[in-house]
Amino acid sequence: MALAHFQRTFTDAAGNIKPGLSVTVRRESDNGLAALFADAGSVTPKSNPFNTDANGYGSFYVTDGRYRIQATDIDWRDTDIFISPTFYAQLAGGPLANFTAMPQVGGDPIVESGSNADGEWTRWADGTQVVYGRVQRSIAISTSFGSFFRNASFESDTNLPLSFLVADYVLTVVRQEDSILDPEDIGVFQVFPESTGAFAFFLLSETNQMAAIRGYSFHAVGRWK
Amino acid sequence: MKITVIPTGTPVTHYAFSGETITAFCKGEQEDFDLSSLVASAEFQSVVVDTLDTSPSQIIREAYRDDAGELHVTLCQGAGSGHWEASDVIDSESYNPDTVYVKLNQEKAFSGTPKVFTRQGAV
Repeated sequence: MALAHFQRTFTDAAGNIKPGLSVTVRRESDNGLAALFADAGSVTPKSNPFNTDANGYGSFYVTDGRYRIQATDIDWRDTDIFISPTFYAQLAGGPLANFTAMPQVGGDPIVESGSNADGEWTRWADGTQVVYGRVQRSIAISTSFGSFFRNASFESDTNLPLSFLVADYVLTVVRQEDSILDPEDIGVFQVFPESTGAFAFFLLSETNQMAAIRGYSFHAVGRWK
Repeated sequence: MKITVIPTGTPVTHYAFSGETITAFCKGEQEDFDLSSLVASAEFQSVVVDTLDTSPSQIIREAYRDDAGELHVTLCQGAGSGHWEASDVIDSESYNPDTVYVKLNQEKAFSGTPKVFTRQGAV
C-alpha cells in the first residue's frame, strides 16, 4: 500500500531552523510509536524517533491516519502537531495525490471560453476574464513628440473579443514582430481601456512613419462578474 | 449588396436593408447607415454613430465597392461560448435576422454551451 508523505523544515518559536532535532511520531489513537518509512512503497523502514538533517529538514512516510509529532527541543516539548497524512500527500503529489478533489470556488474553474473575429477569451468561475488577440491597423506615426514621432491621436475602437464588467481591466499591447516594416523602430507606448469592450493605444517611433498595415497583439485581464 | 457576417462580442442584435441603407438594431433602438456614397476608390474607415449604444466597428466592420459597382459589407453577429468563424458571403436580399450565419469550429476545445445571438436572443 502506498503511504502518505510528511515533510517540513523544523524551526523553533523564533523561526530558527533546528538541525539534529530528535522527532518522535506517535499514533493519536493509542500514543504508540508509529511505523515510519523512508519511501512511499514501505520498503525502507525509518527509525522513530529520527533526527532532522543539517538544514532542519525532516521527512517520513506513514500509513493514513492522525499522528502526534513531538520534538525534544525545549521549544517543541509542549507543542503537539496533529496531521492528516492524506492532506499532506495531496499537497506534495505522489501516489496518493488526488487533484480532482482539490477545492473549487463557485463551481467549475472555467465557466465559458471561445473565440470570435476579435480574439480568444476565457471566463473563470471566480469572475476573472482573460482575453487576447491580434489586430492589424494602418496608422501613420508622423506627429512630432519631443525627439520622437507618434500617431496624431490615439488609435481608438479596437474591439476586445468580449466585454469586461467595467473598464478597469489591465491591458497590454505589443507590436507584432512578423511585420517587414521597420520591426524594431515602432513601439506601443501608451494603452488604455476606452470602454468595457474596446481599447485605444498610442505608437512611438524614432522616425517619421507613413501609414502602413502593421500587426499588434493585445492581452487583457479583468472581471466579467 | 453582398454581406459577410463575423462573430464578435457585443454587436448589434440584427439588421435590415433598403437599397444601400443598412438599419442596425441594438438595445431597443435603431439607426440607419447610408452607404450609397461609398465609391469604388474609397477606403472605408467607420460609420458615424449618433443613436446606438455600441461602437461603430460592432455595427459595420468593413465596407467597399468593387469595380463592378457592387457594395460589400462586413457585419457582426454576437457569439458566446465556442470558437466562431465568419459566414459565407450572402446576398442582402436573403438576410434573415433570425438566422445563425457565423460558423462553429468544432475542432477546438472550449468550455460552456455554444451560443449565438439573433433577433430572438441567444440560440
